[in-house]
Amino acid sequence: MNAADVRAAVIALLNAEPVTESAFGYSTGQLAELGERPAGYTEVVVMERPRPGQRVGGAGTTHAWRIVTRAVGASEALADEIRARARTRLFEQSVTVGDTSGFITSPNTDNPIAEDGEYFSGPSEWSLHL
Amino acid sequence: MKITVRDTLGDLEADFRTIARRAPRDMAKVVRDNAREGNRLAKAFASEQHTMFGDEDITYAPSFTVERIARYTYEYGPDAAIGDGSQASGYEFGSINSPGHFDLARSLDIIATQFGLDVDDMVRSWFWPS
Repeated sequence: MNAADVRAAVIALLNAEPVTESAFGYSTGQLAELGERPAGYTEVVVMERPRPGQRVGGAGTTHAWRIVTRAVGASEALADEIRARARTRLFEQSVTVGDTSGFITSPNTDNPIAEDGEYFSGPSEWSLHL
Repeated sequence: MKITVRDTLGDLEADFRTIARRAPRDMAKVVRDNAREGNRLAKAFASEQHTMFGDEDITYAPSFTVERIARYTYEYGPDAAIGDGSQASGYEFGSINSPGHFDLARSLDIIATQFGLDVDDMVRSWFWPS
């Protein structure tokens, strides 16, 4: 299991059926491939946090991951909507990578949506233990 | 061989008096040391980004400071009033055009472990002084 697997699982969760709207979860690489950015989307970045042995009370084989979702919209309202949509799809949802499952906890931090070039964006940070 | 251990409530009372006297100082020290260590790590991560991998905003890392804001509360990280410290939110979380560096989040991952262990050691040292 590596960060790319976890990122793919999170993106799959964002874009999962039933989709009442177009897919909106992308990795940094997928966005670069698109060429032109969509009007509203969520960029997903995943990092592994220190291994269990390095944490207090850390035992077994549980790995901790930091998930950062950046809600981006052409307008502030759209960025807000994208963030809310991502929240519905990620909050306390189960993620399965290989044969391991875990739950995404509530956002650790939710930074305000602010002007970002021609867009409005705001990052949220989540934790996942697998 | 015979070992006899004698203890009286008077000793326990004396221990509690000592603990009550030592606790505030010890607790403040544990928080201070971990805040300093967190700042040192975050500053090192920032310095890596701004001097090793590039020369943009080289006064960002030097803007990291530690501040005592309450008896057992410290705050560390970039100070907006110093150098490029005001660029903090952009560097920490990134923007749509540049990835975040997560200097503070990564430092927290490390000190969170040490902090817990230090609190453990501190309490143990009250009852079983080395």
